[in-house]
Amino acid sequence: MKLHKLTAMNFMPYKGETAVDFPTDDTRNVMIVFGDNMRGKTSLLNAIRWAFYGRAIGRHSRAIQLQDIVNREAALEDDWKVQVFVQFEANGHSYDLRRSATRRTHVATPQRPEDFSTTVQLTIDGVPTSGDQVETEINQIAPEQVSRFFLFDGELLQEYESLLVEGSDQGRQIKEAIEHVLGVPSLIHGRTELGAILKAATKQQSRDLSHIQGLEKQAERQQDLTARQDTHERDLAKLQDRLNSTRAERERLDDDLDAAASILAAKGRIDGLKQQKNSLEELQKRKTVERRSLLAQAWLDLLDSRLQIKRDLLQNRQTVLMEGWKRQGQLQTKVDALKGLLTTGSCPTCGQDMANHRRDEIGLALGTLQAELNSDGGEHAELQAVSAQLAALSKIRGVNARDRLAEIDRDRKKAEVDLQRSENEIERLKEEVAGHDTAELARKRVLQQEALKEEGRLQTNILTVRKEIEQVREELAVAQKAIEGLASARSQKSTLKVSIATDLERTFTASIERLRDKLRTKVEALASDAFLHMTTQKGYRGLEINTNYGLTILDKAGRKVPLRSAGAEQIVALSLIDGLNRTGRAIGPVVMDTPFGRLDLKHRDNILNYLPTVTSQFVMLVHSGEIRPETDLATIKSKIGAVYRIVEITPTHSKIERAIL
Amino acid sequence: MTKTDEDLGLQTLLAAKSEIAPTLDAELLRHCYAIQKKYQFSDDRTLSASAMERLIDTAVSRSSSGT
Repeated sequence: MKLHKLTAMNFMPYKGETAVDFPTDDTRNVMIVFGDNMRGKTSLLNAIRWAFYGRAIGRHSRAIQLQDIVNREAALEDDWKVQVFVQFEANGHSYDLRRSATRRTHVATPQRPEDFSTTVQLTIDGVPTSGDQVETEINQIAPEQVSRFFLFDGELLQEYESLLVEGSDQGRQIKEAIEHVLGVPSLIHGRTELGAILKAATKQQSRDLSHIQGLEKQAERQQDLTARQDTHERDLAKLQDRLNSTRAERERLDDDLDAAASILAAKGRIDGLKQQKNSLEELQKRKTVERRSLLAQAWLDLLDSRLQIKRDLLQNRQTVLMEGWKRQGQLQTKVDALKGLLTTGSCPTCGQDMANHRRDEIGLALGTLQAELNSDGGEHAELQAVSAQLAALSKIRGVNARDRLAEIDRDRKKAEVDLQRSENEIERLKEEVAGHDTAELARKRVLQQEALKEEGRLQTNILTVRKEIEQVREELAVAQKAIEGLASARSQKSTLKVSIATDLERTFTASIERLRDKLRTKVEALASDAFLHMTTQKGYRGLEINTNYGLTILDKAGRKVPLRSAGAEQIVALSLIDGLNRTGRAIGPVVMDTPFGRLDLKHRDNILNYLPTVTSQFVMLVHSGEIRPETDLATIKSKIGAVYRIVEITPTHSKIERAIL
Repeated sequence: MTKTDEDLGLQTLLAAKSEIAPTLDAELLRHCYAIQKKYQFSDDRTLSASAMERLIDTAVSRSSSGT
């Protein structure tokens, strides 16, 4: 398949008519559209998507409503007609696809998709296709279920990482899309439809056998088994419906809660701030009480300064008295020593008798010292009195009210500021959550958790019922074999039909997992090949695929590389997409929106050199931060067949111009 | 853009048939698969189911008439 031309009118930012010619030369099959953010790159991708499938996708993969697809300026001028025409070729035929939507006659201002009438026309080699066949024709060429692999948003490449997480919802959805591109549903649908044909045929067979003498018991047994099968299948259908509705409800709750995540965070912050506010108010109260108590004792500080003078005087006096007391002790020691000399009359060192004049001198000194000792009276009593006064006065102390009050006032001021800040923040957050029912969000969170549990229960029940159905089918197969052994039954057409349908159904059933295994092997090999072309790291052997089609990098020794960078993640995702495209599709165009977001120059070079070789056309919608036209495109300059630039006229009006590098 | 050559789906079915249902007509299996492939992306499953039943009925008639 090759795209030839796209013509859009009033589609999103493209007011009036905008046309783009795609390069169709195999050797110059690269097209680059430069456009800064918010100019209309994704809208160009959406124009292709809308032309083919009648759907445009916005953020979070949500559908963009038809009334929002119409250019705003055109709508203000009361022009509500939007059109996209795509000319392309596929399988040797030329196609002209035209999708239009316009406001219904009785509607003044469209508010919903139903306010538009939509038409889609497809001509193949100039011959119009009837309306009900258009979708079938498009499905033959570029089915919507696989479109994510050739019309894709580079910013969503990280979604593919979810394939490595067993049981994730996103992984399940991507796996389904992958199996679509690989053709697995052909076998799954075949098995289901053959099962229904087989059941109907078995019932007919039972009716036929019940009329043949001697086969009534076999007929009865079969009727019993098909009745059980019907019951189990009805149960299964009900369980599946409940699972689908529960899952849809849970996904809706997921979306609501994701969208309200900031509100829930704000609510949590408000609760935290309220607690902080209470603590600050408590602190303020405590400090007020402390301050009051301190003021009540502040008089002690006034008294304390005067008492300190008295204390100093007494202290000095005590020191003097203590000195006197010490000296008295020394005098007494000396008196005792002199008395000893006079009593012995000999020298304590040499033992010789003391001379008379020496005894007289000692007697004189002794008399003087005794006179001095006797003159010291009353100091001891005074010392006791002074010590008692000092002890009494030391009990009366100041509270340092000035410094402590200043400290309390500082604490109170800080608490006041913090309190004000908390109150302001609470008010701001309350405004943020105003209009959002936080109780409702809390309710939704509980419902979401319950829905998850219910999903688990339903899945278990589904597995049980499936096993029961399998058991009945085995019993039916055994009964069928027995019937086929009876000549009178074998001649019945219904018996033959059951036999053929059984063989077909069993063949389709057995083939599903075998096909998956083969496809995984093939995708792994092709994705590894693409990965080795695009990665700049030479220490890797390739990629390993898991049952969900998730890919893990292997090093040279074949060991899994557990951690990978965002850039490596993107290369792995691109490799998977290339592997899938080459396994499941004939070569076709690939349109990538913002594909190089996380990649360095060398990886960009590798991708630019590799992808044009495995696609019929490689269309890149890039912003100026991704590719510098002057320097980054040198290696593929010869492959570039068309360059366009999106130019802003007004914030709601862009146009696309041809450009040169 | 769907691939028509190197059909792994058909190869797998034929390989499974030879093991599980060797007496099953390979042409019938090919036709059934072709129908499923044609309607793989169709939401209306009655078209493919009816087409397969017609194929099976034709095979039954052919078989019972001995042709």
